[in-house]
Amino acid sequence: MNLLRIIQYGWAGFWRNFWVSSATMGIMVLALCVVSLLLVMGYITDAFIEDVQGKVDISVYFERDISENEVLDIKTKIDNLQEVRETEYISQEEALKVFRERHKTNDLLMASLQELDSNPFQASLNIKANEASQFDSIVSFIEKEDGLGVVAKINFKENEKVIERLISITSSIENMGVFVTFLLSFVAMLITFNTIRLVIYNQRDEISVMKLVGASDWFIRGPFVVTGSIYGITAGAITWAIFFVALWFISEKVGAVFPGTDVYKYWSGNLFGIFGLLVGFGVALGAVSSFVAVRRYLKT
Amino acid sequence: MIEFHSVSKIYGEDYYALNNVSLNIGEKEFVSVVGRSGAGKSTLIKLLLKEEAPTKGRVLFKGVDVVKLKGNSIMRYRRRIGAIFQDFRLLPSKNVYENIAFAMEAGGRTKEEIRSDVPQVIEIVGLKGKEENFPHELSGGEKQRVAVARALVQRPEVILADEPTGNLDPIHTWEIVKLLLKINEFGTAIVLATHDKDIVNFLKRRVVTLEDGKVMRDEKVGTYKI
Repeated sequence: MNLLRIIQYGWAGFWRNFWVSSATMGIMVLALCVVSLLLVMGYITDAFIEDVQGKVDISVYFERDISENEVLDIKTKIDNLQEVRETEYISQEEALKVFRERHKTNDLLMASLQELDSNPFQASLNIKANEASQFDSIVSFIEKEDGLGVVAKINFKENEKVIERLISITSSIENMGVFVTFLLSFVAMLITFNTIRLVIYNQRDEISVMKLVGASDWFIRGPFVVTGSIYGITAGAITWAIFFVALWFISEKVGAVFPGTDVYKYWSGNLFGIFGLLVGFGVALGAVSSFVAVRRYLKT
Repeated sequence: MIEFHSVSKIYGEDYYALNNVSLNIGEKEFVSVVGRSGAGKSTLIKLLLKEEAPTKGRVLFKGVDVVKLKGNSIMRYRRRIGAIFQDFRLLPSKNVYENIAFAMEAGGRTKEEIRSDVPQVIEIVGLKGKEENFPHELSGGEKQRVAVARALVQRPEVILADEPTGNLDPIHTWEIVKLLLKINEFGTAIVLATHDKDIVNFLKRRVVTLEDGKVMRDEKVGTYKI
């Protein structure tokens, strides 16, 4: 019975102070926009890092006298490694074909190729790892497995510096992302808390009257927590809708700058995840802020 | 029903708002507590409402030490006493009906009880037709009548009225005084803190006179003498 009354009073508190509610929700929407922006930035960073990492590979070149079956055996072993995302076998013939295709307009190169008796190209394996930092262990594995000396060259050594730099940049971006997310989320929470605190400060006399007529702490606090939760639900939904429309407009442009990203698809594809997260965060923020802010006036 | 045993309330180092006050108020009594501003009238009411605690002494309500009440017992105790203030202390975001019903809801009374009692009380205080109005839409006298109705609806054993007519014009003042008399006739004790000479002399009831925090006079049928 009392729970129903608390909810009714919370709802009435939301509607009757419509302008105060609107202003508070406005602040909450801004705070949640910061959180949403961090979500989108996180997605773009992850997608960008994945895209860049996907472009990095190492090539293992095999001696010319090695049979295709032997290479494919090694490929199977490498494929079984957890760190390996994909491997591509390029036979001697394919390598030659690709070279010819690429340099068909270069007469000098074509003529030189004609002079040779045999195919000068080596069979190779292009290996992509799940993460750039895993190339080191993949190379160690290949070197260990290569007891018969079938591997002529691994180009990892030449690319090692670039790969190391990439690892360092991506981990810096990820660490910065976590730090910035925490910092800005904290600022957003602080602003919302202070806004709700001001709203409740204006109703401190009302709280003292409620105490005087014998209302329990929960009967006084409950409606404020309900109103705070309504702020959170509404602000979360509004923020989600703003980003839904905004990302629809800018998705293509963002995709052009950061290939492999589709921010609109990310936002609308995670409908319940992101919507739930924003509304949940808003409700938690509104309810906890109200709970804490009222407590002070219940004591006096 | 109400007992003050050697009660003192000291603010700061040595400002005695109440100084060794001993007093008994019986059931169904109508007591006017008079005195100049700062004499200790409001402090007496605040101690009874447990808004403040005495520095020394005991305040008893029906044998229970009010000072020792804690947590939920305070709110249960407050539901047994009604309070009316000079500044009305209504809930601005609730309309007349809700202001009165709030006290009952806080006490966990059923919807049926509220639906039957609130309109009755509204009728008694003469606010029929104003149920949907908010406090800012009412005159001072009407606001005070809402406060009286809110106190009355709890069916309290005593109503504490702290300068209830202080902000009202003469016509509304007498309306409130007559309302308090009517409530007293129904059997509720009234403690009226006032410095309105005309009211006290009109009532011809018990008068407790405070001066500098001390009880100077306590007359069964008294008049305003300061």
